[in-house]
Amino acid sequence: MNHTIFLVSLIVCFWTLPCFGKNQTWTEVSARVQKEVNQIKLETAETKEIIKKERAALLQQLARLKKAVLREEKKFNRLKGQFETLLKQEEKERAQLEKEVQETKSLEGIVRAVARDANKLFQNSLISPEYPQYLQRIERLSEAKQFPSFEDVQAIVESLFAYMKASGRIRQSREEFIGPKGIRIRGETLRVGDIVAFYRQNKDGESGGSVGFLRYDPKQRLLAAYSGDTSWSVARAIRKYLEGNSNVLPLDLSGGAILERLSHSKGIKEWLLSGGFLVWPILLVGLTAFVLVLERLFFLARIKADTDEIMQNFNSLFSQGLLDKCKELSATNDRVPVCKVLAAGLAHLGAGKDVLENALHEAIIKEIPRLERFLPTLSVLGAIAPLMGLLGTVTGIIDTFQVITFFGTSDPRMMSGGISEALVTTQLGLAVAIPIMLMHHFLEQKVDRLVADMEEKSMTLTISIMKGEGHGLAPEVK
Amino acid sequence: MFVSSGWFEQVVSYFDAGGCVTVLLMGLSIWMWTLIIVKLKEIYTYRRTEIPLNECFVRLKQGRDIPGWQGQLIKNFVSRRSFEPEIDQKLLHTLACKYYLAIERHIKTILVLAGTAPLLGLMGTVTGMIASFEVISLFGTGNAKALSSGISEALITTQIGLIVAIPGLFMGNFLLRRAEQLKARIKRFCNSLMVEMMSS
Repeated sequence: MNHTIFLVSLIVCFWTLPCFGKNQTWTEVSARVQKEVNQIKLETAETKEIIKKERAALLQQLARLKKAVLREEKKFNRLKGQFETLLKQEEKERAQLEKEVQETKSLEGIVRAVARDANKLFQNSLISPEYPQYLQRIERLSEAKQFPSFEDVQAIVESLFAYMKASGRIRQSREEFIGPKGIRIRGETLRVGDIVAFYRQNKDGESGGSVGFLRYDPKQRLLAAYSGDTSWSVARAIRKYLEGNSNVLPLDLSGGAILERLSHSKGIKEWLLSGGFLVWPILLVGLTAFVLVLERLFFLARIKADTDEIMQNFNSLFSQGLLDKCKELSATNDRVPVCKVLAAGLAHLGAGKDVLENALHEAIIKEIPRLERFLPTLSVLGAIAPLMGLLGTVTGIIDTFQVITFFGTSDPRMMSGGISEALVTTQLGLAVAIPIMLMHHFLEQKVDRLVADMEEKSMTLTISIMKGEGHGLAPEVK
Repeated sequence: MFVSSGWFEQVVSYFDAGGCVTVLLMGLSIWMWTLIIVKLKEIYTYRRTEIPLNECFVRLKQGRDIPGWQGQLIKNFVSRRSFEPEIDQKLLHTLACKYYLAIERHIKTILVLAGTAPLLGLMGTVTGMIASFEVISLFGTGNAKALSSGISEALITTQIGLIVAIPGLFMGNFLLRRAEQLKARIKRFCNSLMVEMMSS
């Protein structure tokens, strides 16, 4: 409004200013001014009108705009509320997600742990070769980086259930396994749950063959025989079971620990070989002594220790003066030393007492070496054997200590292995010596008895001869 | 190791710790003691049935029978004597020799068995030590439990060996002395008998 008025007055000034220069009359001027004023008024009115119109339009627009603003504000508010609820929802969802991620992580961890446990179980289980598909899957699962799928979980469950079922059964089959020599062979296998498994090496349909225990070899994914020999009694029990003659089986309830230990334990051969070179002389001593003892036993067993019967016969014949018969009797029993003594006595019948006694004595002395043959040797062997053992032990321990001087005593294991091997010879020496000593004693006793018997019988003969028997002149025996 | 309640279990576990050598030692011990008891009874019987010399000759004169070995000796002697002093001496000696043999029998065996027992014990000891050292070579010195079984085997066998040997040697020597005494008495008896017979 003010603008317009100001504008109008300005225009008027500009109009009037140049007019003052002319000589015009006031009236004219005023009329013109009036006119102009009127015009201006008109124009003003017009302008006002325009302004009014414009204002009205503007007002309308303003109202419209205000409405719009209101509307927009309402919308904004509504949207803001929506946004906030959404925010809240998002937070909730985030928390939920967090929780679920945690859960899945722990679930994955559990699945992995179970898979690893199952893998460990299957790696040491005798049942594994029967389910190679499960084994591979579980192996993959226990090492995998990706998230386990539901099928994987199912596979674990299935395999564990299969394992449970299988570990409650005894299964006999023919399959490939790694034999005791490390070569793949086909044979009969018998699995008792997951406790123990046996093999029998044979062709189809034949009985017999070597038997033994099996373990699972995870590298080859096959059952493998334990190295080392199965003891005879155990092997017999397994064979009997496989042939259906018994329902008793030897089991290793320690989960293979005992069998592992046994397969490392030494057989007699390894035990001997570990003793060093002095084992052989000791064994030679033992063998020699054994042969000598056997020879002596045979020799002495054939000799009758109880010669009283022979003596009675001899005496009765002798007192009747049947010297020929006597000689015959002593000749027929020439194995018996007593008879030789008697024969010697008969040969010196006519001689004096001293001569006779000497002859008999000589006969006895002749017999003694034959009886005592090898006995001194035996006693020497019995004395030598433990000494040799001791020598072997000392030698072995010297070797061990030489090792120590080179490498120090950092590891007692190295030392003790040497010492235990060194002690083997002492053990063997004693084991050889004790029987030799006992046998030597008994043989010696037997010989002593025989010698004493001979002496006694020679005395009897002397008495008989001195009594004057044997010439048919003997008095009657009361 | 189970906790043993009764003495029987204790004994069994003790022997069980000794390994297989203890079984041999037990057998040896039983054998030895059987012989010892048999010999003791025998020597005791000889002593018990013996009667003083005077009484013996009194009975001989009266014709009453004489108990035990003296009676047997006299009977054998009388049935085979030839009334020649030299021959009779020999005859008596021969008869006495039979007794000597019977008396001496088994005593040496007892002594030999008693001598073998410590050797067997030593063998068990060596076996136990081998086991201990093997355990060390397998597990080092950390595994005391495994070690102790070998050590206990080693010690127990030596112990049992000595327990068997010492009384065995003692009894063996005791029996040996007794046997010597008895032989001397038989000898004396023979001499007196000879004198008695000659004089009668």
